[in-house]
Amino acid sequence: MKIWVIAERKGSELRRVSKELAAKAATMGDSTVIEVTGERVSAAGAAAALAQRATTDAPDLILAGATPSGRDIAARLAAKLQRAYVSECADLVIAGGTVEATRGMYAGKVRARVRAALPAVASVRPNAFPLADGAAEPAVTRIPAGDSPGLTFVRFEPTASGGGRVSLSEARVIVSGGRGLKGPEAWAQVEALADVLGAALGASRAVTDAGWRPNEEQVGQTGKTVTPDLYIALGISGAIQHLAGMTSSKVIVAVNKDPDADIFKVADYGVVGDVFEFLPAFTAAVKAAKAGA
Amino acid sequence: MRLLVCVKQVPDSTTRVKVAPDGTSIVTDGVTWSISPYDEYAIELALEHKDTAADTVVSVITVGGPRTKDALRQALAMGCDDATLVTGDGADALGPLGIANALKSAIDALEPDIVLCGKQASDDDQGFVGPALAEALGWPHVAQVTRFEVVHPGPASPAPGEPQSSEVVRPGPASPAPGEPQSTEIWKEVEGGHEVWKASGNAVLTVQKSEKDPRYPSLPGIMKAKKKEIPERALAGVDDPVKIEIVQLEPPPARGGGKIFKDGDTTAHAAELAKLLRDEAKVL
Amino acid sequence: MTPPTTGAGALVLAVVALLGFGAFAYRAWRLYRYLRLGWNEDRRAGLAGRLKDELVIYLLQRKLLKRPYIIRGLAHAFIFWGFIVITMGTVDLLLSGLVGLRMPGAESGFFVWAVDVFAALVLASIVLAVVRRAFFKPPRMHIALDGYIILGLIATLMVSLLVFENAGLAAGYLAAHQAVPPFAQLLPLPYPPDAAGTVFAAAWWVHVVTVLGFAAYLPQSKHLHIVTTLPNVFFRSQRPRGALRFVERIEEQETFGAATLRDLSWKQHLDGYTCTECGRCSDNCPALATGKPLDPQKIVLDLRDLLLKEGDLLLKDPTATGTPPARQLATKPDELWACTTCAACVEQCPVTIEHIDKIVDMRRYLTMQEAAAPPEAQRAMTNIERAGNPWGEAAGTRGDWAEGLGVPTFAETPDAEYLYFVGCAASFDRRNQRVAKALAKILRSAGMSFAILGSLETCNGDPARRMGNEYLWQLQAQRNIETFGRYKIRKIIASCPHCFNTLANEYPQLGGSYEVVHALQLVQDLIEQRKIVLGPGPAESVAYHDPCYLGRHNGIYEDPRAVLDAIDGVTRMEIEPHHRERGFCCGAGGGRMWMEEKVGQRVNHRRVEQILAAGDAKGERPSKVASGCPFCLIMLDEGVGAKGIADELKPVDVLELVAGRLTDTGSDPRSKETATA
Repeated sequence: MKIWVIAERKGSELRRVSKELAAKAATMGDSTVIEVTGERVSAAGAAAALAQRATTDAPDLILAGATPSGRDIAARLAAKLQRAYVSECADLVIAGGTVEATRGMYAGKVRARVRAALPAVASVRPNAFPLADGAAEPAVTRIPAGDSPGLTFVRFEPTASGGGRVSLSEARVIVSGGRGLKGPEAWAQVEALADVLGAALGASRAVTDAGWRPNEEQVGQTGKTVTPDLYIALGISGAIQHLAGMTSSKVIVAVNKDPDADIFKVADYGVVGDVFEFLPAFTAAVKAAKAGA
Repeated sequence: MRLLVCVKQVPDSTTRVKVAPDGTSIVTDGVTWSISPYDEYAIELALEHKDTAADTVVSVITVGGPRTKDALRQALAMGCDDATLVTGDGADALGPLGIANALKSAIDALEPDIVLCGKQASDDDQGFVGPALAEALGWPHVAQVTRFEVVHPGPASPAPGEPQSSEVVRPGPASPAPGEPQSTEIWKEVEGGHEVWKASGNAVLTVQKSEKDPRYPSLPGIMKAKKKEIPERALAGVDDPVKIEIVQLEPPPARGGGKIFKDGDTTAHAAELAKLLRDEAKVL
Repeated sequence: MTPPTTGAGALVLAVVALLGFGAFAYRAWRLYRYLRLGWNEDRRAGLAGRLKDELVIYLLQRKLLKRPYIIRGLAHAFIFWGFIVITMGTVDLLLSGLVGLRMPGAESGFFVWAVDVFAALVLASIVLAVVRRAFFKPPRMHIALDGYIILGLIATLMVSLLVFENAGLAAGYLAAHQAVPPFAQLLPLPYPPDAAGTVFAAAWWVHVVTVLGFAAYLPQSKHLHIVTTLPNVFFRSQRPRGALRFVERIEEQETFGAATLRDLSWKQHLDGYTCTECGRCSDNCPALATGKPLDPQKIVLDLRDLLLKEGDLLLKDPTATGTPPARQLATKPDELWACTTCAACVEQCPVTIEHIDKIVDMRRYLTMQEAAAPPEAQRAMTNIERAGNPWGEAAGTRGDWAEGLGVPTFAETPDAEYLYFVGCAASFDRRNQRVAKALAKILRSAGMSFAILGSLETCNGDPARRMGNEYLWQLQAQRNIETFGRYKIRKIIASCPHCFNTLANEYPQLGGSYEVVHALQLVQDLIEQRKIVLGPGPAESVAYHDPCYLGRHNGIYEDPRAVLDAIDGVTRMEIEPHHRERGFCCGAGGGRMWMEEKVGQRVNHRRVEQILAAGDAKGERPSKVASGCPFCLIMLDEGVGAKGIADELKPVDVLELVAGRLTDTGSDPRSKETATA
């Protein structure tokens, strides 16, 4: 069984999901971790390079992290190779010439087990195969990107508030804010908590629609689907569309002043109370807890 | 400029999805069907372009059974100029590559400059058709698109024409540009900001979101869409090489029964919670 | 008294009269032609009601004599009644002056006496009006030169009348009369008897010329209302106040809503001519009071001004469309969307102007024709279309609140007598689900035969209609009417005043006529007939907040109060002065529930302040504020939360208070949780 992992890098570091998949692939068969190199590579450029190599290497299963870029490249590559593609897998096993995966459908309202014949391509959610502590850095084969006719990178426009944080889809801890936070000013406190936790920032649709936070932070249907270890929902009531995007988180904490809020129905821990009273106290308590107090 | 938006009809996002007794499909009884949310954003992006450039023609297309015509009417009501239904036996059962191939043959006839799709359909949530269509067409694609602007319009596009028959008749092939070819700047949402890419010709965009909500149709729009003839293209002979088999569907694991602190001092609860997260849930 | 018009005098009078009435007729004709640009709405039906309106609203000035305007209302009433009497005197003057004929009865002692008394009363009222304008300017009143001109003219009329009567007495013209004018007689007689004749003639001429000048001036003044109020009151809408105008064969229309001035009915334009600029509508508007761009008086006057400005253009060219009224000003859409349709303006308008109809007609244009409703409104409408509720909750979960409560659906008990139409708020909003459960408990306790529709119920369409989406309302209403028909439903209970209003007052427009009651009306009956028995409870002060669609729109003020009064220990507190027909909106009506409120103070916050202030004025703040509307409950909940007084002032629904006191239940353990509101 030949397995490829398409590696992705953030800055100089391999993404965590790439390491997770490398470790997983090593347990499944003969694994190769491949990275397409080049500045701002388009999906078509990456897929062209990978497809060329795949024709000689003939991997049975190609895995990519289900990050925006990983999904993009995996889909284009699968189309180029005319292979089955299974996206956003939460789990997968190889059985009798097929790959069987667990994944969400209908915006997370249904959990599906699907099967595709090998050879196939799959993208896998971050955190699906948690990395053991102290796992070795995988060996990475680097290949240059192929051509992508008709498309060139022009420039990068940073979001005013963006940058510096863990990406939402990959984060193991997410601190997410809703309308209950009353205005963009509240995010100073949210960020203080996120800093202590090393967390990514999320938001409900109401918040991104109101322009308090950039769209890329939206969690839920029409936003991002996330599966962190810890999801902290502050002042989020829990609309069905928001729940669809975060109910697969391992531990959910909800803080809301409305005891009837739907978010409490999915929460493992909840505090009914004033989020502005909660935030500073919780931030201090987390700091203390992490320090071993 | 001709824009083509590919849409899929899916259970509306407000619908409660129930797994059918067979365990591999959902109960369709009582389901409200609408255009997949990302496809609606794609329509909105296309129509916003039409709002600023009046000579834009926005077409919409879907692959599916008779019911999917409603999705096309919805798109027409929003302001799309014309619609095409690719249909035939097995249209609802095509795999993503099959759909891409079916769309490709229609696109060869419709000759749009830019094709827009939602980044994924909110039923299977695969996100495969867009990139697969670009691959089939041999065009570049940009994912996670939130905005696009035509930097150079290229040749003037023909006026919107009423399709005369079930075969889509183009008012004339797009002639090659006299000077600089059409080029488009495309905003792709990435971590921490947007990458701006430039397509120097045709391209497929898979849309993340439009800045504005998809527009609510005007009543004249709804009435016009009701009367509009929707030409059909036959599906016959489309290559559908790979399939994904659904082994089982089930509702997501039930949650709840969590520890909820209700009354009393929020500050004390916060401290208690931090300890629980560390010692009980072990996530700190 | 003999008029001083012999020979040339009569000719002069004839010329002046011709000029005065000619100017009036010319201008009035122009106004009439503009008015007829409006579409030909038939306002003839309901003659009996119309005649009653003329008596009560016009002749008895009923709508002027409203809190807090009683004194100035009386002042106006005297001017009005005086005008009627004095106008008869004027007709007599002109007749006698021109052709020497006397009006029958003009020389009777009673008439002479009445003219004189009213002249004095009018004069006193004018003084009051001038003093008020000059020194106690009402905040919303539009003070213009026009007002002073008119007051001056009226004062001149009265003074000249009294003077020529007085001088006539002095000159000995009294011989012709049997009666002495009582007030004119009291004036000092400073002139020698031989000058009295001259003074009489001068005052007489001043009076008559002023009358004719008044006529000439009238059509360009807000005081045109003295002419237009009569027809405006007569032709006022005889629909229930809560019912919006039905658009027939909507699918066949070319344009929707008030696309042009032609798409407003002639009556809407007559409203504009009739507006007296008194500002009472603005005074009572919750949107204006909290800093929104809406001013109901401005809505009426802007339309009038647009008609005067573009009327000629539209008359000249039948294909001309002119400025869409909703686009008259860049700020106009914001004005229109700020309206909660609470009807405080309609309630107060002394001349029965229909503000809401205009606003909704313009919203209809924005929403249906231009698809330019605010984004949040568009989302709510999409949700109604797709999920059958404006929140976008899953349609299939509509009946989930009733699980385990023993509440049957019609599918289970098709013979149930009553339908409980739950509505979207009580079906999906967690807080209001408790109200639905409370009502279910009450109905079960009373042994009522009732059922719900569960997931077959869909939004009644009210939010869509009030957002200007008549089409969506019709679709939703037809869908519900079809379902009601399937189960042969005749009697409906609604716990939401908005459901109640549209089911009772608007569904008949589509052929759906039912016996509809609001839950609090029904509960009042149940208490009275002792079908439910309420147990004892602790003493508490409960303020009652009038929901607009119960109170002003449907006149249900007493039943909810009676229910509160029937609860042992509850002391009902009135939110004075903003209660009953002056109740202040919670901010959620007219589809505002689903729209952002970014400008000014939030209406619900103001409402909470009013409740506290009313309590303080009485020396005791209430511990609860009870209402009978899910939207009020949501808004009040948010309001007390924002003010940080959620523990001191608890918003509840009256139904919850009742359910908490039911004595003869207890078999159903789950009903206990609904008892703790």
